Amino acid sequence: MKNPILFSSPVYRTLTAVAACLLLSVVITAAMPAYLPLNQGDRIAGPTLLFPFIWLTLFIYSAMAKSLLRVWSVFAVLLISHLGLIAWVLKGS
Amino acid sequence: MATTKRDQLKKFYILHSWVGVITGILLFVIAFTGAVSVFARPDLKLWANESLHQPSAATPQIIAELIHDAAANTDESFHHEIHAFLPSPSVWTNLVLILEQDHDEDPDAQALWLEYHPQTLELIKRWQGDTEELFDQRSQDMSDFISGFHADLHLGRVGLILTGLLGLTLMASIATGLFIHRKILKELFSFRPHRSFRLLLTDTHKVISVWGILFHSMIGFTGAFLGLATVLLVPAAAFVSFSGDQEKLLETLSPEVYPVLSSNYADMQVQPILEQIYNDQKIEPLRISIYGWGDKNAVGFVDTFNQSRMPRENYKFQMATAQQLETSTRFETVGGVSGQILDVIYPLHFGNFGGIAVKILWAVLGVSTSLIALTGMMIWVERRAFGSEGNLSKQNYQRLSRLTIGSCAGLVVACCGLFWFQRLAHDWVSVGFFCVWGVALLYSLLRNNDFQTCRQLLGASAFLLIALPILDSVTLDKNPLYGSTASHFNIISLALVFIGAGLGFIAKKLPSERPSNNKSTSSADQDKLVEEADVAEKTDSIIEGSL
Repeated sequence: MKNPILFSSPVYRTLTAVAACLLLSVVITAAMPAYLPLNQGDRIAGPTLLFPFIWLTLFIYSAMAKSLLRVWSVFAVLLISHLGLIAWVLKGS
Repeated sequence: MATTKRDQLKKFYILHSWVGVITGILLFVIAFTGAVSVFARPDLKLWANESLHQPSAATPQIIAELIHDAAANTDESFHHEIHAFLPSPSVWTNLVLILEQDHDEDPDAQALWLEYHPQTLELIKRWQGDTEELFDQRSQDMSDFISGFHADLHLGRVGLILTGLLGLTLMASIATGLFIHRKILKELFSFRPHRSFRLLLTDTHKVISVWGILFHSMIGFTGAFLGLATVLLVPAAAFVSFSGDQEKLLETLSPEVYPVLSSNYADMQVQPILEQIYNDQKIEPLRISIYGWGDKNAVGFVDTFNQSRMPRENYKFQMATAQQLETSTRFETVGGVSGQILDVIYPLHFGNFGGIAVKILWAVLGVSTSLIALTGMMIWVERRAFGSEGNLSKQNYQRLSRLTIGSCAGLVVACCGLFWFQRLAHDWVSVGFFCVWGVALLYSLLRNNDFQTCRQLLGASAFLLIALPILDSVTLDKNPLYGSTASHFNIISLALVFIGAGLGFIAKKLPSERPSNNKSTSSADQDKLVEEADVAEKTDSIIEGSL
């Protein structure tokens, strides 16, 4: 990622693509059983099977999006909403 | 300024290159050992253990007698669970009986391990200790070493995460590769071996990638799942649904095995159950587990392997009557689509279905995955050391090239060396493997001509495999070659020699120096070749494709 015109903020972008994507995809995998309208088995096992595709989507988006700020915004919304869901479910149980 | 389509493709190209070059060597290591692991069981296990060269003497009657004797000679508290691992190249070398106390009720529960030779049925090991140390008792051979190395690099949880992440990055490389090579049908038949070295590498990389794209994608997905499932995905799934209780999650998604005991004594019909299973030619029994030994309600599960069915099947029996109750798969309880996918992930990853033809196909495709990583690394180096890309000196890129050749060709030598360590010093299989790999890497780093090094390392690998029959004749008590020529062992030995001859042929065919430096080629011709390679690459490249 040497070309600063093609990839803005290469250091932060790399960190986002490597660390933030993994963290966010794990959080999404953990929270998905709370809202997937499937039977118990699919609701629990389904997100674990979807995990590689969730990570792949986030990784490519974080690397390719023009604005890193937009990437962070999308990630923040996804992270907060899924953490909120987790907290809501755990509080309820 | 708006991002043009050309810029987008350039970004995909850069992303593809950097993901590839960062993970390339490790991907080669995992993919190549994966290709070898396809044959780990039963083929390599059979080759490695002389006691498996003849059919086991453990018949249903003898196994049943040993289980009854073991139960009669141990305290009743050890009858909570009784497992018999049947001797077979598909799982374990020896017949192993395990009698366990109830570890759910008692945290200090113990287990008893009784191991019998598969031919003489002599007791060769007796161990009693903590249930957590139970599976440390299992002896390892080269087949266990190589399949374990492929799974987690023998680094435990860290290794599982690494291999899982590598599966993810393989998926990322495939996705970005698809974006930059959109003319996929053209790539299928675009192979120009005689134009230039760089073009040969580029075409090989693209052709192998496109022809095997379904396999590479499947391996990326299943590898990522298998690597990350236990360390990341199951804990994450349990976090919300079971408040972090992973045991509860596994209990919910696994079938209930333990029966409600009646406290009424009954004879256990082990022999009739085993006879039923052994009489079915389509299935291979791997293990029988008995829960509630001696009770009228005791149940037994026979874990089997069926070549014509992808997931492993479990046959449930009433132990007092030998009546078969049901047949299930490991993840049948999960239900839905997920259960079916989970059941096929493991056999799909290792090619454990459909017999030897699938195994050979999986091994060839596995080697092709490793070649994609290798050619990708070489293209990256080539474009920088001998092309216009890159900011470092040529020497730095050549060092990376030597590291790549040493790691990759060195791994091939180390894998071939495993056979020799297994025969000559089987307790030193892992140490020997890493020593050979380390020496090959060091040799490569110290040499200037990595083309010559590659030839030499492949030549050494070829020698190690071709000479195996001599090693066998010296080290084996009974030379199997005197037995049936069509025996499984002889077919494996012949195949290894054949692979060795193939490696020798490749080593002979490979150039001993970089092809564009050929003395017969004039300077003007070299310039023309490089120019031609550049033009041809550009024709196919993302840059040209975006115009």
